Amino acid sequence: VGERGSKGAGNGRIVLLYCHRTLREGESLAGTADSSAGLRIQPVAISCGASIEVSRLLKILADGAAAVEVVTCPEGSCVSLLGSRRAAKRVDYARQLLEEAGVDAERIGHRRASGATAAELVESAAGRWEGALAAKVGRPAGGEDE
Amino acid sequence: VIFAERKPLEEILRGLDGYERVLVVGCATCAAECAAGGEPEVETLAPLLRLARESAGIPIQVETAMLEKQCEWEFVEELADRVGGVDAVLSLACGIGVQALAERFPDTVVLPGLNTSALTMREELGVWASRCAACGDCVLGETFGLCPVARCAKSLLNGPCGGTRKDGKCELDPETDCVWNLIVQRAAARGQLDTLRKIRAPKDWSNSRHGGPKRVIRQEIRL
Repeated sequence: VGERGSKGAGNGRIVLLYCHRTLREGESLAGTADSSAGLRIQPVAISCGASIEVSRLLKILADGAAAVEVVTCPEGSCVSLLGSRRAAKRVDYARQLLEEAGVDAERIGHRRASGATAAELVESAAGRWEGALAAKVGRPAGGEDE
Repeated sequence: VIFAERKPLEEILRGLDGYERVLVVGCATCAAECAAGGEPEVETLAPLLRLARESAGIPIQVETAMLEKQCEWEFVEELADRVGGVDAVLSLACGIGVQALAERFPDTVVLPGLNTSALTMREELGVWASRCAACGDCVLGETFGLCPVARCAKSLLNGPCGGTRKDGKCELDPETDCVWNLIVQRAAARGQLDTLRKIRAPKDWSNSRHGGPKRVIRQEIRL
């Protein structure tokens, strides 16, 4: 799944980078999904939280996504042992860099999940926007307004 | 490795004021080893610059490139076809690399993205510490392989000073070992504490940068 979108914080989708092991067996997140609030969520499966790179997170935003939500396994159950911890540290660093750049750090978030349904992950990503950003930069296009 | 750290983003952005197309160039040798100018750092800084400038309402185009070494002409030459298409080059290399780019491309604005500060060793993942000061008059043979010039805050040749903490750390930094304490420990372990009673005379600093810019010519190597 591609990650490119249109420019601007208020003009993109929310990219959901999720470790495929966080999904409940039998659940599937394929293709773009809409949250219950109508926000457009673009799921991208990753092999493990360890594969998250700061550069990738920032590039997703620079290429036009409104926000990035990273979902990894609970720290003690990561199959790569340290993948979830690495992801958390990289997300923290990316947020620091955003602050240094004068960009809202809430545009990148991280949560841990286990046995989640596809709908739960979609709503989690949407929650990142609704909870932290919507009031600051407006609603991203690509959801129900599109 | 030659150690360098990224300049504060505000300073980098200030240097890029007025430029719309920038080439960020990394160095795959020392700057990569110290996680300041390798491919991950180049590919992180590029979107960060775009986000910062977009946030300020002044978009910028950022290209990226990696050179094996910015301090070797053969590698610097790889940029020859690219510098003409940008307003400025931001070098993520040590000061040597920045100067090499500026010398090879005198018509191009070349800006430093890093501050070069030390010669270090990576002690463990994410931790670098000084090991050499390039003083030009090595005393490691007398100090049991531990450099007091680079690793003592006062560069004492006859230590330790009176400020060593009880736990063997430096008075200036509780996280840093007092190198003279380490020297004494190593000397004791070898049964050679007596060698430290000798007063070491002032070093000859003329072979360091105190002697002026260094330029070495070795005829046996030149063609």
